[in-house]
Amino acid sequence: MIESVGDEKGLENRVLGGEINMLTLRIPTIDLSEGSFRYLCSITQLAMSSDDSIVWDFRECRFLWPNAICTIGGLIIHRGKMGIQDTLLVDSMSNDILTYLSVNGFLQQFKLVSRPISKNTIPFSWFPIFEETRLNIYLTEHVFGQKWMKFSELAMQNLVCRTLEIFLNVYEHSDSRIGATCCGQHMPKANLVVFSVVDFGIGIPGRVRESRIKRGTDEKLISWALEDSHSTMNNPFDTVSRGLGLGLIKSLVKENKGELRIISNRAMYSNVKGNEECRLIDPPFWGTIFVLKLVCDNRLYVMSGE
Amino acid sequence: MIMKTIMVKDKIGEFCITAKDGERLHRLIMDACARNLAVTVDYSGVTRYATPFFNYSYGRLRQHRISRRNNRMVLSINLSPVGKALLRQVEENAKRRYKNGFVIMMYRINELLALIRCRKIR
Repeated sequence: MIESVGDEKGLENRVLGGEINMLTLRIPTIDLSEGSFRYLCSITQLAMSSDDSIVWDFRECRFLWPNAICTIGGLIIHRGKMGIQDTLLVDSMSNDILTYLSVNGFLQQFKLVSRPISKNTIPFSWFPIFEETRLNIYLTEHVFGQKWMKFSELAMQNLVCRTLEIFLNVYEHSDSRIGATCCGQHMPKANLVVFSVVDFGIGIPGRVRESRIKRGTDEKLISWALEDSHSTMNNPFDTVSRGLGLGLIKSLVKENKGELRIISNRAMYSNVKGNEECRLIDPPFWGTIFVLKLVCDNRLYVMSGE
Repeated sequence: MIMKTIMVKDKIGEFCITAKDGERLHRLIMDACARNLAVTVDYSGVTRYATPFFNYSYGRLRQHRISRRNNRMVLSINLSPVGKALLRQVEENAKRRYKNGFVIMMYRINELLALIRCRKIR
């Protein structure tokens, strides 16, 4: 048996018996910090480029935010599609993690528990293709229809319609082989909801570079894509105007004093209450992570006309 | 002038989200325009909207030109405030794009090429 420890913290590589190659990934606590996003980028790169079977070990993990659940879930699904069978070490999970992942549908997705998904969570879901009815039910009932939200029908319509733009971006532009995974978390003390959508497609800067602007850093390209009227599909022969989707998500967080983070390829974009920042992240993320943080204050979501 | 009303919920459904559905509505509107009918698009019962739908149904150069030429807009009624706001943004975006003379020129070249191809086939 050969055993070696990789450079990245928590990445341990074990080669067993020369036949079945196993890679153990020790998952730490992952939140919304830059270090956590870097870690997600590292494990994504590793998981997407390795043919070895991965053992997902959670003994060092105390909590997982939605960005981590979507990324890890998406990677296991993606690798499953490539015919690689991974192992989720349920025994390595603390009671809190185990309870959380079994009430939010994550472990059900991989048929590891049969317990019903709790109605009080924003469940982990996988949308391989754009299914408008299923997606609408998910957003209406499980994301914005929760008891802690209590939005008017009109405010709900506004939130669902704008959040749909994130999904449309995935299915129209990313070429993600598995579509998208998503999940959320209510933070009662902070009165916040964190909602994340992840895909493993070409990435926003990658798509801009492929179809529009050949040169430029990823941070410049993502800033370009987030401007109104900028679309990778607009060309001089095209007679359809586009390019409003990402701008609508930006305006949603600005109007409602929320936060938006997008990690795509080498770009890390953040918009906190309307203040935008964009910088480079290394290693790059092979796809796109969207994180929306919304304040659960109904007064912020009153629409004109109500 | 005879009025044609398109009930979106019947023709498209409760969700006006995708580019494909927007394309379907665009064809219905263009068919009515070709028959010189005044068009009213009724959104009663529609609950979800997204920009790809409006881009493909209203943000089209051809429709933009026809509306301008005939000096009338296609009338959209019973849109929710969310739908109205989205449609307004899509229309403003289209106006900005089609102010660009280069886009119009390319459109005309495209139309001309299509005409030549048609004649060759005949």
